[in-house]
Amino acid sequence: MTANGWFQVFFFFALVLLCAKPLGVYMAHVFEREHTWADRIFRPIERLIYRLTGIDETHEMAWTEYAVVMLLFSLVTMLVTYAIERLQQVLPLNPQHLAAVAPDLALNTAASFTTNTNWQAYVPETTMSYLTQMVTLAYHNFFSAAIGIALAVALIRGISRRESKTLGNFWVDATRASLWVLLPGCLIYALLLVSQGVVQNFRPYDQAKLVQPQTVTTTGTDGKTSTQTVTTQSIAQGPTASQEAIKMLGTNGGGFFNANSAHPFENPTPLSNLMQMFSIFLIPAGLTVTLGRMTRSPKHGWAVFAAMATLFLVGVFVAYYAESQPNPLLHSVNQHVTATQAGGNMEGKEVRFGIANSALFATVTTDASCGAVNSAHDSFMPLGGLVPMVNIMLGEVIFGGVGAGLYGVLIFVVLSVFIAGLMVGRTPEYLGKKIESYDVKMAMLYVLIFPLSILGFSAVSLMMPNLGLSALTNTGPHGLSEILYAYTSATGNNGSAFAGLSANTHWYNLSISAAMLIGRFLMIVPMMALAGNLARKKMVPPSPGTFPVHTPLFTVLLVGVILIVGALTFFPALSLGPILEHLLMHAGKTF
Amino acid sequence: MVEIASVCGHQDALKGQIGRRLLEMLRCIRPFEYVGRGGRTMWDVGCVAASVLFFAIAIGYTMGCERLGTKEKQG
Repeated sequence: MTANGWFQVFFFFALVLLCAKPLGVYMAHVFEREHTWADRIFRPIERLIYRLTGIDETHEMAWTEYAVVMLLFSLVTMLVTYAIERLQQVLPLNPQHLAAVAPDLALNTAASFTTNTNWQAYVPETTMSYLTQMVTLAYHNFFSAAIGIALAVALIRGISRRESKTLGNFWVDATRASLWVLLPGCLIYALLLVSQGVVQNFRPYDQAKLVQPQTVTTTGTDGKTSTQTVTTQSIAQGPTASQEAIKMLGTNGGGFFNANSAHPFENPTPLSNLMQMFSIFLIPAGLTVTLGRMTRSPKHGWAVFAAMATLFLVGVFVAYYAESQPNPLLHSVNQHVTATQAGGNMEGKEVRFGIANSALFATVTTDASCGAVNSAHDSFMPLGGLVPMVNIMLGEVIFGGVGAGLYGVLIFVVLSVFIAGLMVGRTPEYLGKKIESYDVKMAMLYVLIFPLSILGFSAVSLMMPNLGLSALTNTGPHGLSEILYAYTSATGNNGSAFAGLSANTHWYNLSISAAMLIGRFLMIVPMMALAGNLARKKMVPPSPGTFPVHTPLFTVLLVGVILIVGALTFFPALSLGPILEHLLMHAGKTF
Repeated sequence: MVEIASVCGHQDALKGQIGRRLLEMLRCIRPFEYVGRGGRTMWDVGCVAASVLFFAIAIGYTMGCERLGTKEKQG
């Protein structure tokens, strides 16, 4: 680890801290329908949208209506995405004449983008036409993020409203999230990315003549080998900057190119790298301030922010430390840090980003449910790879996905308050609302679905040699980590991968689709039920027995609950994966 | 085309006018020619049905959670 590396980590975090408050206050104004500077531009557009679509913006929805409308909207958009993928060969904006996407892969991709996961079991530049990328995938990048924000706002309203049967209007919240927050942010951000060299065009792919022709030997399906001399390279183009902006700001993470944010056309410079990491955390961090504003308890918002920040800094430290240590298997090689040598594990990392920015990016992208990558997580040292996996396993609550991170952490807040209430033997209260049996049941449903999907699908895959294990390129504990990571990433709606798993098979496409849908929608329903139930309650004035939710003690308890739930649930699986791999690496074994 | 071709092979067995009309319609829709290739039509039907089923379960789950809340309040 170097001072320069740590400076970059803290500079990044200071930037997030600096911008969280203004953005959070702005979002509170937007969702409370208070005056903002952007009203003059967006209010007429908003009114026009409602007039065209017949939406009554004054209509308030009960939690069930809010949830059902969201589910039906997601179903319809998912099916449209599936149809466009399947028909892209007859649709325009396909200069490469790419064929229709295979049905199982099309389902996987439709589920992936609808759920804000952006798991990609395909190579985008050779699978998806420009139209598919722009119309369906980029559309979902906006709307899955907007839905996440809308749901978080609905939960905040559930906490702040008194004796109310409603939580707001889904259409209004999603529209305002898109128009006031995501669109202006993406417009400015895309231009900044173009200034750094991110491409934005509709050109067919360029053909470059190789200076040194390469001879490639391939084995066909019949087992025969053939040798071919490659003299040209195809250089993919496309409308990248516009998609890159929402990919990061909406914590989507699906790359326009296969190499994602390691590709020089997606993430060309250290400055674009900083912008990308910053944009992942920006809205989730801002939403903690929005929580404080809308619940009239700003200190509570900051206490939640502090819990997230603590877990984030611990993750960065472990990842950066693990990646910057000399590899014990190369003990005879000089691995000291010099001006020309990073001094740690550079496998799978871009030289222009180095160890510090690769470890930081990996932590940021898995804290928030983004899933964009600028390095190969599969090539991290075992403990370095453990960090992204644990970040997702904790429930994507360390800032988390836009909206999803906040409603996820608020579930843990309810559990923390409940545990604190048990400790002192009083009915737990959260911001003046009594937490009762139904609330805890819904919170536990939310918490339990997550490991059930991850561990259940992983176990089934590990038991089936022909379906699950045959897709592995690594054996032993690393192979287990690859499968575990895939289902963790899918259920956590993250989308990053330990890329040693060849996931484009019928089994993985279908089971990962199911994991993504379960991890998104079956967790949203109990969260919305909790929100609806909280909204109906009376406010209870604080008493000496009330556990304050704005103190450092609360932050410590919240961090403890998140870690204990995560650790107890996943420690056995992790001990057979990355932890065992770490121990075996020191014994001289690698996988 | 596999499914359509196999259905065409058994066209005589389709006595009903509705079945014949449906076949004619299928022939007219060009994308079906593609998706029919390699037994993919059934995949499409399966994928769409599975998606609809999942969301139907999610809506049922929503109603179940609501009913549990109502029951607890009555209790």
